[in-house]
Amino acid sequence: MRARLHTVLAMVIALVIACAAPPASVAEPFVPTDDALVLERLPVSPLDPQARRLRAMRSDLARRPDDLNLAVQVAWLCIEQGRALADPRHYGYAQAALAPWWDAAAPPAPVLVLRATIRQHDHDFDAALADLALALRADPDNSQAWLTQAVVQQVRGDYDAARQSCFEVLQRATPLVAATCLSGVDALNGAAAPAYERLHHALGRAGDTPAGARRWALTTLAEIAARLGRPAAAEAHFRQALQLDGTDDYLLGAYADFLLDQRRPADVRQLLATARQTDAVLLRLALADAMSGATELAADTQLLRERFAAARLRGDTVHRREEARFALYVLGDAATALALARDNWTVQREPWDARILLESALAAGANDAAQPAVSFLGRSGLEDVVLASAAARLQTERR
Amino acid sequence: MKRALLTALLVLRATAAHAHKPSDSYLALHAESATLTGQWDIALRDLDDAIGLDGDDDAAITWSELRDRRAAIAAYALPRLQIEADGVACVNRPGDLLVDRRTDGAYAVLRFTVDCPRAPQHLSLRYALFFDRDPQHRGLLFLTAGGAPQTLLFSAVRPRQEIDLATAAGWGNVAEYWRAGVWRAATGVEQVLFLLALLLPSAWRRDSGDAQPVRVRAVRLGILKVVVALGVAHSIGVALAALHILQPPAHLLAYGIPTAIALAALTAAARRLAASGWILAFAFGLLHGCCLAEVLASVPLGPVLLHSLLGFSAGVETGQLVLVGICLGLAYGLPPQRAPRRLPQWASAVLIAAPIGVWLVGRAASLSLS
Repeated sequence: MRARLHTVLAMVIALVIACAAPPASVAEPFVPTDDALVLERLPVSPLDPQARRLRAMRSDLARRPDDLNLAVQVAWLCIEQGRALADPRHYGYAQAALAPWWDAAAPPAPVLVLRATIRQHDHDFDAALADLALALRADPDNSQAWLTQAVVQQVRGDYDAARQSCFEVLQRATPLVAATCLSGVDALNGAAAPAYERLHHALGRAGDTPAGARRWALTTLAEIAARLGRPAAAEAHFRQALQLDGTDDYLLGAYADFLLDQRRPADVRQLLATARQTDAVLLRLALADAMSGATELAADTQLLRERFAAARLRGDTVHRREEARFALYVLGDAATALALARDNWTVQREPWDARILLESALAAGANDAAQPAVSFLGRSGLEDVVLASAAARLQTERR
Repeated sequence: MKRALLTALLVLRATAAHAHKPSDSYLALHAESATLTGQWDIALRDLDDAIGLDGDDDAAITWSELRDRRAAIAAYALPRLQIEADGVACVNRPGDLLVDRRTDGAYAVLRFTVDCPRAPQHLSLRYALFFDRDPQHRGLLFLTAGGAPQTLLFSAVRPRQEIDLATAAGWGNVAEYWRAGVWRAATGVEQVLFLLALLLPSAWRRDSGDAQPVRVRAVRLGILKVVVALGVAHSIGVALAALHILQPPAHLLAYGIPTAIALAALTAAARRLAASGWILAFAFGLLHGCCLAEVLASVPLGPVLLHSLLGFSAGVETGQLVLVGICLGLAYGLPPQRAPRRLPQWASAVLIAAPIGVWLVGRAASLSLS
């Protein structure tokens, strides 16, 4: 009798783990048996008039690659498509449109601005700034270049320079765009509350402005409010921005991060339920899963792992902030998170970059590693309630 | 100008992490003889942008639409991969077209062969797919050629690679395959489980009331017979398949192994094992040995050569022996009181039925996928 039970147990264990063993060919190439099986859905209908126009222009450009005006137009349209679809291959198409001038040391100013935009998208900030400086020497009235420069300088944490660039924008663009630029910088530089008021006021006075500019202003207001610890205001602004464009990748990510800080993972899932499955969206979903203990966590984690592995295989390093957050909060791997956060900090200095460095240093018990970010916070006067508490925890633990 | 400014500022705020992945293709090449074999995974989105795949313009690419463009895909891609063997150009010949799903979408899988004048000592590769349309595209090459597999990256700034191939007859690789075999035995759960299902009952057999296992020598002999039978059959199976005397059908391994485990467990339960366990082990070993080529194919070390197969097989058997030894040592070492017991009948019935059900559903689901 007892032996029978033992054998039953052995059998059970064997079968259970045999079921867990993956079937022979799940992730392998296959020949579909159904002709109508949809393999891939294209994000834009081929019949969409804008898409057709761009395709026609690209064909024209292939026949006349040295046509600068056409190339510049095509490149901007490709970049806009890349932003709308959150698909970096369109930035590659834009780069291809500029092929005759891409490697030149001093191409025409419009090309320089485009090249800077593509390079900053690739997180090659030094090269982008170099291009912008050249462009502005040749064409000091180029408001695009000033604005691009302001944003890149802000990402690098170079707030004085960013403010200067925003002042140049002030003279050359709408009041709302300029106000958003300036308030964005000031809010990171020790004057968050006044910056919020100014921008709020400017938005109220703005009247008839393009939706994109309003959305940028509202997103900035929301971020400032969140950092100031005013969740109600932040939420209101995020929702207003979403009404203008419910698919913007950056906005969805920022709002999701806010909701996660408010410990509302269910709202995150609802927010991102119909969003494209981009890496940014997957990360927030995985973070929400981890927070709420959802069953989707394993699948989302595996998918993100594959995405980051694929990026590493091709030599990409633009994901380090996201990968650090993934390592720390989903995998619980503080050491890896800290290494990634440190590498990331050498490239960019936005509040989230400081935050992941502080939090992973705390988690890894390596408080000294966070020192660069702590000094930066002290120097810049960045006001952010979450960062402040992380920095305080670091200080108390060092004693 | 205003519109451009707007675009600029909107784009700038999209500095968040790359949403989708940039464009990559995955190229696997085996260079063991004068005819190289290759497999090129190319994203459907990229192909659609380059040559158009959506025949009916409904923003969905179906299998029939892809198949219709098979010749066009081969005609577009293969000339953009130039391979020279020892300075002489080789000729690419298209093969089958399949599909694969990767983390960022569906890929066309183009199989092809490369005819070179003789087995290459030195390969020169020039990759030019999509660089003219997307300079950020990368080609990831996995090259196996007798030596250790290599991973190489093609980019717009680095479109050429030169590779010196280790001589194919390297017996030094055997060690590597042996190591891979040991690792596979450790991670190839099904083999170990099969053995445990066969062996544990005999190790744990207690006549009622006795604290000590009885007929120790008989039990040990039984175990020895099982392990030896498994090892011998394994080697025979490997040899038969390697010499092409047996051609196992494709999914024999995937379905045969779980069936064998179930059989082993059932016969163990029927307690007719001690005498006939070795027969079942022999059959299992034969099955696994025959299909070892299939197993080896899932280990990314390259195509199956005789010496690599033998090395792998030896590694697998070594690993198995070690694992079995550990498990049996534990089983023997467990004092009788610690052995698991006291499961009620109904619980064991449920415990058996549930995994079988799960397994069947899982297999059926994977069948319908492919």
